[in-house]
Amino acid sequence: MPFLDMQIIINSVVTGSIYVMIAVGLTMIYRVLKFANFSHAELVTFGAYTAYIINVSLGLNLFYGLVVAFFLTGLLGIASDRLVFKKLRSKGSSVISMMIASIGIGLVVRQSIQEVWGPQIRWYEFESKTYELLGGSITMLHIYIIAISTAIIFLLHFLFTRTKLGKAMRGVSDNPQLAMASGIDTEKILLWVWFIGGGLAGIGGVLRGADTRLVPLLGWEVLLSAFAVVILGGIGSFYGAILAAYLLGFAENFGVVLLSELSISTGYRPAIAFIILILVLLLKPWGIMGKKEEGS
Amino acid sequence: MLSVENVSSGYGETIIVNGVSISVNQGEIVVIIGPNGCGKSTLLKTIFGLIKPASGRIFFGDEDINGLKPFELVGKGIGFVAQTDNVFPSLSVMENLEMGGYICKNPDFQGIFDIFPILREKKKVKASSLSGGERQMLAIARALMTQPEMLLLDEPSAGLSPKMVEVLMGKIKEIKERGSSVLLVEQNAKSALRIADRGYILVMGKKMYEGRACEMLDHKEIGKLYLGKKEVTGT
Repeated sequence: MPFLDMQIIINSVVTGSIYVMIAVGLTMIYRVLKFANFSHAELVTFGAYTAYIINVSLGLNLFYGLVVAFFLTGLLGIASDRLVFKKLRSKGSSVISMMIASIGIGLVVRQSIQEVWGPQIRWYEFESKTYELLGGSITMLHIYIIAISTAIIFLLHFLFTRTKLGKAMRGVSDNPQLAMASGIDTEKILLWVWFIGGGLAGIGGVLRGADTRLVPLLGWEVLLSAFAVVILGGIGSFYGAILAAYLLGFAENFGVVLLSELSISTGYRPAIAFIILILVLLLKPWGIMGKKEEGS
Repeated sequence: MLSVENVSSGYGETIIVNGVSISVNQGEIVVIIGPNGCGKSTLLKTIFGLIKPASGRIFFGDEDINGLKPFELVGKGIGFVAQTDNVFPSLSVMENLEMGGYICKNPDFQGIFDIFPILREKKKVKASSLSGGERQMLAIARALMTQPEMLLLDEPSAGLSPKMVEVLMGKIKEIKERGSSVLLVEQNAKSALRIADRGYILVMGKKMYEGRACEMLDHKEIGKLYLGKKEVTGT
């Protein structure tokens, strides 16, 4: 019975762990700024290539690449806000303008990456032993991906529920005017949202790059799945995004088996996220843990 | 303490408040009443830096506070409670108060719970699950966390039951007794004037009347026009 295969379960958890990192940043930025940031895809790619410099060009351990990718991608997120989105905000631009601007930023970053590293496939340099696990096999890389992702989820939970900064982030996304009336410098909080959201995208990029390979379209390939996760989880919901990331991980991995059982090409794998996205939007547009639009 | 001099303001080209001067002295409750759309809320938002005045000056103490951002005014000792959207719905009561005391080194939660004991009981409840009256209490409590010298309240009694309005007015009086001055914009003119020291009437963006609250309560014309008092012989 292929559906109970341990290997599929392991693969699903790994896929879910990567989606969590990418989707949480996306949903954080959406929740505070209320627009779909398409350039999130390129934050993912940028993170992956940043780690490539550390890991391959400088020959250091990939773990250092992960840390540097977090910081530099976070800074790129801040830069995109300062250079573009903040200016649009202060002009009172619509969310549509913000979204289109984000597509533009994404294009610039993606083409710049392609200009520097070319379109060819690249790989990180690391060794990864394989272990047996309940009839399936799991690599050291997969163990790291799951562990890093789980640790970050707990750190974020701690940030949002126990720290002043995290609570202020939630406050600003609830009601920016009231946050200002409480003496909170909302622009400063926004910088942190971009830094953490962007940094997580960078980590997602490194994990994805390590799990597959590096191409300039790396982030673009997972953007649709990331949006599916965000919408399935309920736009702006942190815990919803976590749950949805694993759900989509399972749906994609089980779906691939189902596709091959039905003798359909597994090239249709990306369609699974599409189908889920469409079904959620039709049946439960506010997602599994989101709130229905309500008045104050 | 707070003095608004000849301020005009509005949204874009539309001027809503037209050359209004008002003042609030230390330890006073001052109420602004007037018909709907007369510019009461706009004036309050202008004082709190949410709307830029087209002309005029605003002083807090000796300082010209015109052009300062809301969060900077909070640091100077001014608190503001908006009429709607005045709590963080997805945060708990306690977290709302923490946000209120964001700029404080040692926020005094006990002092707030002494004024509003109901909030102590509902500490862990999400603000979105509170009743209208509780939510209004939380909104004021949040603004009090910084122990402001000057509290600006925009129609705090809107949508509350008459009984709750009285409770709320009692709380506002208590806040004054604890040392804050209050500038109150109210639709519930009668209840507000009962606790106030002085009052202003705004009509069509202009100041029509100013005087002591008790005199305004007894004033025949004001009573008829703004306090809903009926002629004794009428039905």
